[in-house]
Amino acid sequence: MKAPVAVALLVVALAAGCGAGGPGELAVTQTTLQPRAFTLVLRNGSDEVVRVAQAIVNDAFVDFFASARTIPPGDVEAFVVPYHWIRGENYEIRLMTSTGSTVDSEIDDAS
Amino acid sequence: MLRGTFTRRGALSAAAGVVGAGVTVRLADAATPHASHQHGGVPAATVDPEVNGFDPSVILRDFDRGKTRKLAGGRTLREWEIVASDKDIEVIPGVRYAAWTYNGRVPGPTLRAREGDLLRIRFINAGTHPHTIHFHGIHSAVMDGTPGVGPGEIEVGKEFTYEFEARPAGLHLYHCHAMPLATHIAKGLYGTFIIDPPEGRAAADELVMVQNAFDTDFDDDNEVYAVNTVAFHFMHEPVRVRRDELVRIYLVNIVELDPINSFHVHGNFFHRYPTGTSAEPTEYTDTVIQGQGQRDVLELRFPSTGLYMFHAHKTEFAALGWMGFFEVAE
Repeated sequence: MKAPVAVALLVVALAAGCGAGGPGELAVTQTTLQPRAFTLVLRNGSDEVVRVAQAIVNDAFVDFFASARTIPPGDVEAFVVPYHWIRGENYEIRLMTSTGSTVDSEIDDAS
Repeated sequence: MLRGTFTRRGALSAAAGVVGAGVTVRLADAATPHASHQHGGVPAATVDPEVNGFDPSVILRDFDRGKTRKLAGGRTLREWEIVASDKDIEVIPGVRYAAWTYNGRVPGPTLRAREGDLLRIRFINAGTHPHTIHFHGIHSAVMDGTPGVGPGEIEVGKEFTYEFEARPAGLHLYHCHAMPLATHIAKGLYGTFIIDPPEGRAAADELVMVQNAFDTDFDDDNEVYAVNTVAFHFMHEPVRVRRDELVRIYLVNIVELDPINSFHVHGNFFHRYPTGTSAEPTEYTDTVIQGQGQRDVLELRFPSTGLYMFHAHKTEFAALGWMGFFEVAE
């Protein structure tokens, strides 16, 4: 079965220096909720190219979308994770790279 | 507050709605090269067997009976050569794992003998750490593959030949017993060891299913679960069996870091023979729980054609890769 076509245009704020992750780190700098989706912004603060291979929400592999899955050093990329989240519940969202490393972010009290 | 970072956990109080100006990202549909190519969390394809050099579907029915010859008195000698080596393998599409392997595969070859055979296993350590092969079964201490006993750990570049009689009949394991033990098992040094009873078992379509898992980010918690190594493999390559034919599953749990695992089949029940050491089943059920290192022989027949899911009923493991289908045909 073909996956549902998901086309969206997102504008994501990336103020210089905001968010987590210092130099040398791969970090989620922003997480936002939309109806039936999470959006994560991943910053590659390392000196190596990073490729995101999988996404996990609350211990389950899930679909995700991005305009590019490979992130050069110093660059950022937004990842949209379609998910029918429940108001007031908590979520742990993980992005897994091609080396198996994971980058985590958590949402408390989704609203 | 945002605290989500690489390999660290954090909390975020997030609210719906988006943010101001900055980077514009156009999200294309799922058919583009940059989409995740997944369906409901299951990757849209399995790992190419050429990448790993082994195929989980082939492992199901790949029984290695060794090189055999008759000894004086009619006893059968079975000989194998097993080489430990380091190898990167793909455990879910796009994710590589630095495994340690027996004969270049995870799990290692399924060794099969008959009770009473003499077994000789030449072990060569071509890896980068000391290793052993510890066989489950009844044998002398010096052949146990335990550090500090007999030959102990086999150093890099060295070899040792284990020799013992195949007993008792049943479904057993072999694995590295070098220290740290959990690491040497979790990285892939294990395999199935079947000893058939002297009278054999009823003819069946026999399948080896090794439940395993991988801690890809080294946080002492598994991220990827599977049967025969590749997550979700049997969702794309169902286990093909025939209606009404006896199916015998050699089910092994070698998952480290989690205390239990389980196997559940849809639309059917099976007879359970714990460790395969008795001809009488102990249970007729559709779900079996296994601790670390536990094994069961399961027998069932599918009365109807179609697709029947099987998965861990520790459902977290199912959603992290441990699920698949039987496809029953006439």
